[in-house]
Amino acid sequence: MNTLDRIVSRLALPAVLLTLIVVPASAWWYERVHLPSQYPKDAKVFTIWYSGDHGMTLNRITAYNYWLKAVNRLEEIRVEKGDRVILRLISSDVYHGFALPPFGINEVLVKPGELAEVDFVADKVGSFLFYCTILCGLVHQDMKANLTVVESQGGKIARAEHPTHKPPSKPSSGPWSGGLAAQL
Amino acid sequence: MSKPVAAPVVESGSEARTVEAPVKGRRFDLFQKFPGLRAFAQTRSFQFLLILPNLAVFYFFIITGIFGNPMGNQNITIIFIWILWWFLLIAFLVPLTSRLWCTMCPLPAAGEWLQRQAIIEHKPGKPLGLDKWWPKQFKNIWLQNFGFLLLALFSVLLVTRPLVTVIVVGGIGVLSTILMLIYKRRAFCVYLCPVSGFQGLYAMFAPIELRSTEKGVCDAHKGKKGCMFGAKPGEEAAYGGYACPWFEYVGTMDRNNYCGLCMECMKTCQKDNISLFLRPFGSDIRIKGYDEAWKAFIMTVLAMVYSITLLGPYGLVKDWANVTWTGEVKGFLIYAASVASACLLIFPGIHLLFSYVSKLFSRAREVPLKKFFVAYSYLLVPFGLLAWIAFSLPLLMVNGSYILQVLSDPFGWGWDLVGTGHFPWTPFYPETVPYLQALILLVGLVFSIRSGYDVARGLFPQREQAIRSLIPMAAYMVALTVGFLVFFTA
Repeated sequence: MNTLDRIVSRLALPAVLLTLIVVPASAWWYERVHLPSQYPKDAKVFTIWYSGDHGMTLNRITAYNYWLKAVNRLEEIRVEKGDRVILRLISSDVYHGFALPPFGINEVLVKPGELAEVDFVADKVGSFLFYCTILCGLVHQDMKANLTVVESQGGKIARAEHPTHKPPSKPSSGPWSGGLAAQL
Repeated sequence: MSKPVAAPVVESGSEARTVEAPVKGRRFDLFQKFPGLRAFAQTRSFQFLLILPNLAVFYFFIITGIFGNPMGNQNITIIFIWILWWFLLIAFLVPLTSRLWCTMCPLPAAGEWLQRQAIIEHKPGKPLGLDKWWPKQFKNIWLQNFGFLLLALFSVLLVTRPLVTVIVVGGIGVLSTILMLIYKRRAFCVYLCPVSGFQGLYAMFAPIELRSTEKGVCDAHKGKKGCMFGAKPGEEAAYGGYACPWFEYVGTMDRNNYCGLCMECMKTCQKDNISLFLRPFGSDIRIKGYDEAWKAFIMTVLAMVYSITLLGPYGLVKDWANVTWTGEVKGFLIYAASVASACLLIFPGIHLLFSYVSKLFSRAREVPLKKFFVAYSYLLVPFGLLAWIAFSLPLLMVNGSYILQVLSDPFGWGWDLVGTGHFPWTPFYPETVPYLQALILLVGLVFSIRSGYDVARGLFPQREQAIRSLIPMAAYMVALTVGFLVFFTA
């Protein structure tokens, strides 16, 4: 074997194994570590996935669970009064919309393939309906949920209080505890 | 392989000449002109270095296909495999570089590495697994024909649903690995892989070929030939390597169909008598048997079927083909039966009819109809290839802008890696598509009739008789071109 072969021969197996690890790890790092770091630390960030067949959900809609129809429909998002709330809206099929009129958000277009974001401060206590504003699919009429704003509890409202989702296995802290990081 | 039924016309691989210049007859010796390329092909690392980046990319596509957005246009798996990769494969890799994709294909790599118990090194001895010969009755490309046809029936699902793509691509990877542990060498690639089948057929058209430099050297070489049996480095061969994974003997190989360009023979030839040649387009014109003829029929019909289901305005057919979305099971069965009948019976029947008319025109009673039928099926190789390019072009021109979008957001999760995540869907001069398609089809027609003349001369040494024989086939190709034009411009 020549020099190239000797070098490649030693590196081939590690290169293959590294590929198998690095490729998914890079995606995981970007989604779980890098992306959350791009948002303000004082914000509660939620990603809402839209599907004309499944409704709105905090579960990531993937090619896998979409066909298994294994996503839980979103019923409620809970935050505390004074929280800065950022909603990341992602369509997994067609055009959708978002409206939360009590907070001055009347219509946000959620285009397929584009991230739409809503950023507001939950400055009033109560339960407020948000919904899809575009006739989008079979379950359009069910594409609604409540934003429940409770009196400030010192940041204790966490994902565990969302009735449609399991609590995180390990309690986390910080602004991401009720949002994006917990969904991953 | 099927038994040859038509005499070879252009034996570009068998010209024995002792000239120093790289131009040999109709061939240009690329390895002689570019010795660095030859040296690289002779390294054991050659194939691995081509496979590794594709392994990373396709592995990523498997992940995005499972965990990414379920909608095809928001998932890199669909956009990159069925728009970018497919277009590059059918419009550039196969027509220009023969089966170079097979050289770098990552899907059978794991199986081959396991079989050899090595990634780079040459380890002589018994390979891992059962090391059985592929069953004799399946030593043809019928399984590839049926496999490709089966996939084609579900093509609307395949090219729009990331998970279906993952199942098929991953399935090919898993199946190839299993079969490589049962059968010798790359039996899966030669006899079963659905992508390999049409590549082999259309590689006949490509302007490069791997062949023996001088056939006489192979004939005179007594003893174990490296390309057939493998060779150890040093005394036997300069580099050492395995027997041809594609079961070819380079000394008699005169077509591209079953050469995967892995360059293993470059390492094992004791006589250093193999090289890569540039040649005119469409130099291999010999279809060897019914299996290859039917591959040409199936591919031609499917180019038209895809144009109808994926590009055309025929809503009912689209609904039938898109069965999981519409639930039209009865419609799908009608669609599937129609496509299968067209591929396996109707179109071959039309070809048989024209072959019969060709025989009548030639007035050659002594030449069996079978010979016309098989030999003239080659006309569908350049035409079919160009028809596929014509079909694939609008996929890229109309939907190519999605490439930029998914490059930034491969999972469809709202990422913006390189700032093009919000790039809008922007068709690229879609109004020019029918004109370009017409032009491509006409190029295919010209190549088809031109090579038809060579085929005819292979059947009949007399020019006049050859031309008489070709006239019905040329009319048939013109009618086919018009048919495609109607569907493309509909």
